[in-house]
Amino acid sequence: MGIPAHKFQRVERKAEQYEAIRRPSVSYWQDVWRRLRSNWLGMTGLIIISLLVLMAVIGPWISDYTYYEQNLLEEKNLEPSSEHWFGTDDLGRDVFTRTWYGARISLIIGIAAAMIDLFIGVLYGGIAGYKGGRTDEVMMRIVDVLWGLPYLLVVILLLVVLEPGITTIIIALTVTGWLNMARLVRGQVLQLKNQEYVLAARTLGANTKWIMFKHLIPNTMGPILVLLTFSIPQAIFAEAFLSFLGLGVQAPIASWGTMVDDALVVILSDEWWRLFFPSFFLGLTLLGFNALGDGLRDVLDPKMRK
Amino acid sequence: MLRYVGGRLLLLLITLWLISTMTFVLMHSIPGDPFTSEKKLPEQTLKALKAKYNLDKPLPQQYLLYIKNLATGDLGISIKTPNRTVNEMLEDGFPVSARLGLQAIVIASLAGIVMGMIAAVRQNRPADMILMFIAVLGISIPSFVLGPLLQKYFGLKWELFPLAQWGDGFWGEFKFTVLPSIALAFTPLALVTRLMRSSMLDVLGNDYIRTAQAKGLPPLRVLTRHTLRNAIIPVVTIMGPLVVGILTGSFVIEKIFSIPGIGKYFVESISTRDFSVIMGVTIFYSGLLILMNFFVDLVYGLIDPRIKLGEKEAG
Repeated sequence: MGIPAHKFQRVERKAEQYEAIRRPSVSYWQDVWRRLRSNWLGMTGLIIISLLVLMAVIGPWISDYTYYEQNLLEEKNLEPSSEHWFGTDDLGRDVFTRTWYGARISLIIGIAAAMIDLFIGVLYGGIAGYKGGRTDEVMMRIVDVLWGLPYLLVVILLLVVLEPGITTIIIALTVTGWLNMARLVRGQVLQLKNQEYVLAARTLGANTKWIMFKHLIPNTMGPILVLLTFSIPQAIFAEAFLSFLGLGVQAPIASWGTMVDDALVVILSDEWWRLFFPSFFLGLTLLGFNALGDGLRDVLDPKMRK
Repeated sequence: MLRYVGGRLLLLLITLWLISTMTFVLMHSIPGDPFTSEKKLPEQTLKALKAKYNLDKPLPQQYLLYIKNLATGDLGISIKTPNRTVNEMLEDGFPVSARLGLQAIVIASLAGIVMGMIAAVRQNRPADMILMFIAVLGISIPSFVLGPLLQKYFGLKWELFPLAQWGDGFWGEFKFTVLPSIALAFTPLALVTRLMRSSMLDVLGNDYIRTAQAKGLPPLRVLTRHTLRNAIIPVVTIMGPLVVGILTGSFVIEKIFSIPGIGKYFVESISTRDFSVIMGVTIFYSGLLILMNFFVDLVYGLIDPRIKLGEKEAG
């Protein structure tokens, strides 16, 4: 008995095989996506936002009407029907078209303002946190002073003076809007910059720019992403609020805020659709972004990770 | 502590100076003067008007006068209704706005704390779900949508509350303030409820709660003495932003319910471009808000012994 030695085959040890990574490597965004997928709240938010974005893009396009086309004689205050899906307003304009055109304006303003906040905030907070010392002291004192200014009052003040329009609103919203982001990034960078891996990177000769953008910022991506998601609905709400006060986009451009303002007369009459549709979709947008933000916070916050 | 308060007061003054200067620069950066849009005024009248508002002097001198007046609490005269000073408008409107705002703050904080507590204790049960649903509604429905709805149904259809009037005396006014207060309080209420719920859940998971329960304390006593006291601290931190939200929210609510408060004057002055009123109200409200935030920070330091005022927060 016994197996003769020549029946055995030698297994060659290949170093590169041991070192090989067996699972496909997952980038940061793939990781976020994998985590988010299992969070029903975040996914609900994401689906709502996707549908709203889709309708904002195709809504005005699939309708036969334009947002400014009036028909005072025959189509004033019509109920929702197969002709006008969301009815018409007191100038005979199609509410369906105006609602989705308003969605475009709201989403553009919300996302653009949040992106500018992100850009300024990350740059400002990053520099303050990384430089530290006197630079940080001076930069954060400036933030402290600006922090005291009431957000909406400053925006109102600016809009009273500046020419009305979408660009103006975005600028006004970002004048004090970036402070949140700057504070967050500065705090995170301050905590992270003394970690061993940053020291290691510096020992290996990495320059400030590399450490900043390859190490510090990616590691604070989670909280940044969460704050970004929450600042979009804030900007959308602010735009609707300002338009409601008559400081937002100017007629005939539709925005949810101006549509609600125009629809205030329905308190006395029965054209419920004029108030319902813009407010419903405005509410849904705020809900969607807040749900996505909550979901992202649950999956990205290290304290919440289980 | 004293050093901290001093530092904060200095910061407060700088912020106030900044907002006053900003309003001054912004309002004077508009081409022309407030009277250009009016019908052609005789040269003589125009001159007199400009003299009245100090607009005939060079800009630096105007600025100094303006800051000097602000320091003495004089906010100037309305441009569109020249026999009214901004101070008079504030005196008329402020009691109304303050009352509305206070009622809303009381509703939002008290009801929010109670609702948050119930939701946390009954986590994942029907009561929790209903309360969280209300909270979600509160965050998604802006006050300027809720206001008209309340007005239409509770005011006009079911005639539960009177509308578009303003009564006499405390109780006479009360029934007019119910709907606007609710509309104003709804979003802050939702925020407080959510925050209170999560902070309660945090506290309820602690060992000392289990200890209290294990040694046989009645559940209600555990809730009030051990849980509530600790859970309420994060809620105090959002009182500052909450007050800001309610004050700015009152602009639209006063417009919708036609309540004669500061917000209504402010919105009117925006549409008529009455710059001295816009400036005055902005500065008044900013000062109020900055002071409120200051007090909230102080209170926060007092109720939470773990916070030492003046120490740098980490991160």
